[in-house]
Amino acid sequence: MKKTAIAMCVVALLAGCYQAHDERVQVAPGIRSDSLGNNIITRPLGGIVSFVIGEGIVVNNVKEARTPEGFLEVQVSGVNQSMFKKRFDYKPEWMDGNGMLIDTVMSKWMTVSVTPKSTFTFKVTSPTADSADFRINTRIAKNLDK
Amino acid sequence: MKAKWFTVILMTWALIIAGCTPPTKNIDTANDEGKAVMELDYRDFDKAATEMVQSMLSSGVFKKADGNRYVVTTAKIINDTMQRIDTDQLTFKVEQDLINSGQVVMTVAVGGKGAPDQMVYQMRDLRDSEKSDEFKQSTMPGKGQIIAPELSISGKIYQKNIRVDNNIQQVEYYFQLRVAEIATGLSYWQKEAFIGKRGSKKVVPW
Repeated sequence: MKKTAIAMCVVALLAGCYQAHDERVQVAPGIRSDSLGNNIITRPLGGIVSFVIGEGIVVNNVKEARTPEGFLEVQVSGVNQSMFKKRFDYKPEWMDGNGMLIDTVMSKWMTVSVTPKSTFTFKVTSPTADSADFRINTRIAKNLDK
Repeated sequence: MKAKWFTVILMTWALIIAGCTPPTKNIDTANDEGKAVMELDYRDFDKAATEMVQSMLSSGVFKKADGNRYVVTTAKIINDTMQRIDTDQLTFKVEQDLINSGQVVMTVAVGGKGAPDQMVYQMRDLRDSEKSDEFKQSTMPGKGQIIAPELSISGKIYQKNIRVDNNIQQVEYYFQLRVAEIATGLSYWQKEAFIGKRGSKKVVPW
């Protein structure tokens, strides 16, 4: 009985005052209230696990739309699943109706920086209204501190 | 004998010096892994131009009510940095993509630094000179044919140096562009692109 009470107290302490909130608002670990899976004890462990299993960026939504002028707009959304900040570069390439590459200033590497366990969104616009398809390449962004 | 030794030492020294000199390499512009520099380099201009063009095109600022294309000129872009920058590094890229987008036509008859293509006026000077007779008259530019621009792109690039501590400085670069209608003076679009660098205070950013 005593052991159960102590265990329940520990669970209650670890869980803190966590309350589920609107998922559209990202509250970073360490700022939000602690939960069972995310508290002062489990966070360092979570960091190690995250590093070992190689968590990173996951793209979970790509939306396409045409502007009134006919430009193709692509919005890429995803999440940084890791416990660490992730930086990456992306470069869009645009193809016309015949699948030929369109030469544009806008096909340059741009950088995205995503905080741990947070979502990200970036948007790219095609250089011409003739653009029919696209490709987006990514690479690891260089560490800004070096 | 002495001279022989001297030659050997000299040649060895020359070889050492040559070995220490870093070889010249072409920049891989598609995947440039070069270190960041405190001054503005081509990557910074590429980044700023990309942001500007993307914002301009997606804003719909160049959509003309009658379906025609706007005639656009580039007015003055002020270089308010400590570096000697040809602002064409930015505007040429922006103009290039605006023309290729099929949304606008750029005029080379007027511009912030004068006419970008002086030939427009040189041919007119020729037309009005004695040498005009040398040309087939039907191929000479007539009067009242130059189309006036309707929109103008203007802006500024400025630099701000901030001391972070005794060893580190922060250099901030702001690229500002706006699109205004010449007839009414109204601004339809504007954007600021920011590029910040932090590094040794010993590096002079100009």
